[in-house]
Amino acid sequence: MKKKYTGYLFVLPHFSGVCLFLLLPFLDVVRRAFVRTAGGFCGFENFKLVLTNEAFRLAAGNTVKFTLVCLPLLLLLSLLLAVLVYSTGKAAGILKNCYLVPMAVPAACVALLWKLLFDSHGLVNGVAASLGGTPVDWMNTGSAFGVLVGSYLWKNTGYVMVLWIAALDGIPQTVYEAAEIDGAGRAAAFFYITLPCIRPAAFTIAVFSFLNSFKVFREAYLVAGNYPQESIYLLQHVFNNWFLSLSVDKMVAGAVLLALVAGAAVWALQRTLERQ
Amino acid sequence: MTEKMKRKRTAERKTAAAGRICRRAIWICLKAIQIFFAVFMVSPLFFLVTGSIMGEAELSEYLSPVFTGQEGYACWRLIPLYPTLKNVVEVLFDSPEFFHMFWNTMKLTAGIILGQTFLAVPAAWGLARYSFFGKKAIYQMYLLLMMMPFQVMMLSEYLVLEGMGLNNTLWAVILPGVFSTFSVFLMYRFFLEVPEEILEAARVDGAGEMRMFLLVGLPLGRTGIVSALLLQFLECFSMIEQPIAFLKDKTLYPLSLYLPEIAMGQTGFAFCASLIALLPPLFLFLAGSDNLARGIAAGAVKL
Amino acid sequence: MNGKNMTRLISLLLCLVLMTAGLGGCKKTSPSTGETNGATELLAEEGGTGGKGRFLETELPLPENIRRLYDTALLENGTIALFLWNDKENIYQIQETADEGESWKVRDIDLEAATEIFAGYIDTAAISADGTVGILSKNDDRLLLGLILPDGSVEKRELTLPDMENQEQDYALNITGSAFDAEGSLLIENLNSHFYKVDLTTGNCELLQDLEEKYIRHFGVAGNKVLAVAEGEAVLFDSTTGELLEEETVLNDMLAADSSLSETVSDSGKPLVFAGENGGEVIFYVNHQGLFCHTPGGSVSEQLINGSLTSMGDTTVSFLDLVMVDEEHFLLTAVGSQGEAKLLKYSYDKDAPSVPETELKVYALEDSSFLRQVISAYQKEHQDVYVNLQIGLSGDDGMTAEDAVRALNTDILAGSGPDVLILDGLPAEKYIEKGMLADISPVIEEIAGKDGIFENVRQAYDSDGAIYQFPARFYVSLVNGEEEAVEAGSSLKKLADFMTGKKTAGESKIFPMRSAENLLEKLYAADSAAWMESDGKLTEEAVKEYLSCAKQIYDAEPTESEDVYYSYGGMASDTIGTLDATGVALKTSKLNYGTIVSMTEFTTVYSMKSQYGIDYELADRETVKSFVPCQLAGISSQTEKSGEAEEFLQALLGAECGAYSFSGFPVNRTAYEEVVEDAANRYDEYSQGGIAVSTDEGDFFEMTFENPTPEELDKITGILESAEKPACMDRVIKEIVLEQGEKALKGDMTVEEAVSEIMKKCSLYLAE
Repeated sequence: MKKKYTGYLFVLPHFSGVCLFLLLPFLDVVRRAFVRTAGGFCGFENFKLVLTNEAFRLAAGNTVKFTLVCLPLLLLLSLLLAVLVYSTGKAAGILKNCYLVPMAVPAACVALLWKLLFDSHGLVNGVAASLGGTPVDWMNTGSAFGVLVGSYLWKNTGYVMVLWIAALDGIPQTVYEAAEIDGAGRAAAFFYITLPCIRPAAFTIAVFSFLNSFKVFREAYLVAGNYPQESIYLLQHVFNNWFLSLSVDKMVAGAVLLALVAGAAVWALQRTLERQ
Repeated sequence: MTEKMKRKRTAERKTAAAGRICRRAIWICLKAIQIFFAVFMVSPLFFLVTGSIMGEAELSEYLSPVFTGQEGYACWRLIPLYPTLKNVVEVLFDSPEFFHMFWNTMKLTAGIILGQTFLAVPAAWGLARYSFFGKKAIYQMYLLLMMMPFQVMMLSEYLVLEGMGLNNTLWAVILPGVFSTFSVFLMYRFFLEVPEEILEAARVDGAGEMRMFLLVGLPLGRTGIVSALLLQFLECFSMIEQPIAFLKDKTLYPLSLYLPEIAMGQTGFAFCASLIALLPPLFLFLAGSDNLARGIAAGAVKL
Repeated sequence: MNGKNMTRLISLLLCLVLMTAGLGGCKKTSPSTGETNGATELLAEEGGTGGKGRFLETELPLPENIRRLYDTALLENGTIALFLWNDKENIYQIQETADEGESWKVRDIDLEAATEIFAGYIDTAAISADGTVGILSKNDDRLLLGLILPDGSVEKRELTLPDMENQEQDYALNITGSAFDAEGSLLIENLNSHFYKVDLTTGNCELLQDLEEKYIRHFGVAGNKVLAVAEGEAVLFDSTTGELLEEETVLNDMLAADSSLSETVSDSGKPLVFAGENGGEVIFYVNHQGLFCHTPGGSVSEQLINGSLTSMGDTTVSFLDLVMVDEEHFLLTAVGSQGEAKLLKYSYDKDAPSVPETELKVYALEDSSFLRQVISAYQKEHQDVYVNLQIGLSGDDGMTAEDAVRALNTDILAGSGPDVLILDGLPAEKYIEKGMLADISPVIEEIAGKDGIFENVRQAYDSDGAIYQFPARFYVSLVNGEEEAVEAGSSLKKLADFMTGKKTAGESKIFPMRSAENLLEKLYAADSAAWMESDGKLTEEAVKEYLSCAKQIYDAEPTESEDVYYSYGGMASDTIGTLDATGVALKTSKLNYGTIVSMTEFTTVYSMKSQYGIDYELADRETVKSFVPCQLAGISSQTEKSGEAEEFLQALLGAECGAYSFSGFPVNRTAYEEVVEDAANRYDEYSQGGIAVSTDEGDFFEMTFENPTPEELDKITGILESAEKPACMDRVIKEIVLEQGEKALKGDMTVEEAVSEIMKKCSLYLAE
């Protein structure tokens, strides 16, 4: 039998640190959500302010849109690649390593490349112009959203693919062999064996991808600053700008809302993917 | 063997041959797609490499439309007209601050990675393999804390660190990094996959809980541990917000802050510095990638 | 070894490397004050203990009308002696005081005997401990040493240098420095960095050191050691034997770290002065960081006085002489920013806390010499307060304004924010909105009552009787040129049409601009005041008008003008400078447009008017008459030191600091009158100025500066008084407008697109 308190021994050291360095600040954040910047309890006023704030609404909309576009795209694309790499054999080592490269490129470096490629006088437009296409001011039109999505996919597909491969690797080969004996085709095997088997992994991967979708802010910020093109004005831009203008009350209220929504989404995801 | 059967056999053989050719063709196609993707993924590295060995004059000639807003478009060359190692020399030998900041990054990384190894890994194991009161709550809390953007937590975190007198020391960046909940989440998910039977077997053999963690948990959860620590390592190399927020003393700044500083104006230098800064995480990544893709089952078979 | 083991090995090695790195690091470092000087940190640690004992500064009275102070010495009998040029009587004088400056006595000099000496060019003089003054006078090809003895009698020696052949002859007789050492020997240095010891009885010179290779910038004597300062190093040698002494690494490090310490010496002082204990082995030196004591061979210098607590920290001050009275008393002569000499005394008070108990934190995004001067003036009056100036953007790192604001906000919210804020570049409106700034109207009221204040500025910052921010200085945009141009400058639309008209008429050189950005900035300063509606929204029409006019102006000017004006370089980007003014006279432009930031600039504008008939008027005066505020100050509403903060504000906005020369006109009326008074009497038969320019095309232009007449001074005062609204100082809005505007001007997007982009971004900003 497992000893009852062994679990605590493993968890407690880390947990106490989390309490100190994360939970305590988090509680402070929640407290501040009900207080004005200059002090004084104000109930749900901050939340009301935030929800009626145009900038916040725009940013929240953009963030939701970004997440909804990116997550399915990333998950599908990487799963596809993973299956490809997995099914074409072990020689994929070098290729796999290539896919991992983007993840290792620091944000500042990505920003520099963005600038070179997507500036209105940049390389992409240069190529487009020489091929007879019309140049686009990538960062100052709606296409900025596309650039942001592309950058996210570029950066994360490789790593997520590797996570998928790990999940695929986890499926015992014997299951497939049994299915083959039963006369199941490749497609059937994929849908009835592979997909259900990697469902728990899908949850991990989705959460990971979701969290990483927050990180594109760094690049967007390094390239386009505090007030980028409307379509890539994300929640972090608002939070960042609110802090600069000392609107901490609004910032924390917005963040608490974000945590609630994100938490609910993750919880729902967990329910769907983990239900046995 | 009847005639009918024979005919069937040859037909089968024919289709099999056709199938082999067909499969071969598909295989090549699939490979080609993969290679195309791989090249696409790595292409930025190529910019960094050629940019690093290009002279400043050549670079500014190609890129001046971007930086000065002149007419025309930026262009690039596959191989520099006048390759030079000037940038490399400048970064490696003439910029002591580069190395200083590099070492700061190393210190941060070492602190965070070691901390996670000794604290986060056991925590993930504990959460995954034991049931105890409050486990669900802790797990949900970890999930929630993961969602908070840094900009929002910054002020409160600053106040906590200030209260402990840690601000303006590397610890102010290391400690919150050690207790990153995401790492625990990731490792937890992988530890969950370890089959209970193996543990039971070990338990029957009389292994203690600690022994089990070290001898069964660690090897089997290797993929999760490696993924989490690698991601953390990468994070350390591109941290921007935390050091700016918690470190006032510029001599403590890590390399990730050096890059945005140099990005404009000295492009060649920036390229080269980026490239060199990219190498440690890249190498580590490649070294660890073998572990990354090895699923739990693969590990389990080895046991 | 297979691949897997290899991987493990690599990981293991990396881990080891990381661990060793980790062990070496992570130590808690003491908060650095930004100065990398080892000595400063020493003080910081001492300060923490709250010990007692500090040098206090007092300013001693000096004789009046000192134009130049050559040397200061403390004589054996305890009197302080000065050798100086009195510009009222136009005479060299030796003045002495036995009572610390309460009364000064002029030494009676045998002028007849001194005629020849005083007739020559005198660049340096030294006073010995017995009161003999050695004056180095160059008369044609002769180098004379005049000795004025304590009784006033004069002796003359003709000096001959032993090694004339071995150096640049032209410079050999230019003696740049002189000093008496502890033995009473006179040392001189010439422009070739040759050091000589002078035999006072014969006038023979003995070469002590030839440091021509090092190019010595200035030197000082401490006891029997000569400290010659070259770029990045100090060369030490013995004043009796000339023998080179061992290098002092502390001094070398200091000089290497701060190149301004080895700036060439001029008659307005040096950045670093030395003194020594008689016969002792200790060197004392003063720079802007303070007074330091250094034992030769030691690895650190001990800081005796923290410069930022005294006048030493004022970077506009430069030093003349440091004199050690005894271990607890020092004298320092210095030159202020206006060229005025100062005699400062530092005495050790063992009961004063080593660092003043009250700390007043003053924050500014960018450093300014004005602020340093104000702090120094305030510090002198309040020795019990330590003003801690925090600069957000020190400039030597990649910190952006935004990072600085973020750090500041964190401090404010953590309750450790500054007491006084200089709001230039900070989101002042947002701070006010959040109640982070205190009402400072009582302070303004008091100054208005005492000195008077520009009422238009006060009204502009008055919100329902309360004032949360107030500028110490302000300036306006002017347009000058021919009559039609001045008329056109009255609004952007007229200006744009005027430009287009001129262009159609075939004229090319109309408007001086260095770049699209420069043009946008000039017009922004003049026009942006009209953009903000009372409800805090940006008016789209106004922005559109601004941008389309800017575009029209930019297009009317042929593109090559960018290069022409760019080549002038070096001028402040948006002010009416002297070179711009000459453009109109030289017909390289029809008009000037830009801000006028000082009376000196106005003198140019006026001289143009009186000599070339080029008139001036407030630019863009038809919509909203606007001014540009600078050094906007506010007090944090969280401060616990509101008393000190208000006193600091009093100093900042006061008459004394207002009269300092710095960009912008003082809002303080008394200070303004003083500035006007100065401008009205600046040039006379003794002091003149002017400009002469010739162009490549052979055009020639010449102008002498004239003192503006009272009528013209009234006119500019009237213009300053008429400005009713400050330009939009919001950094975010300005950045957005300039960034998008530049694209519109250069043709990357249309004006409409740019305006819509500006409006989108700005309304996002304003909606946040």
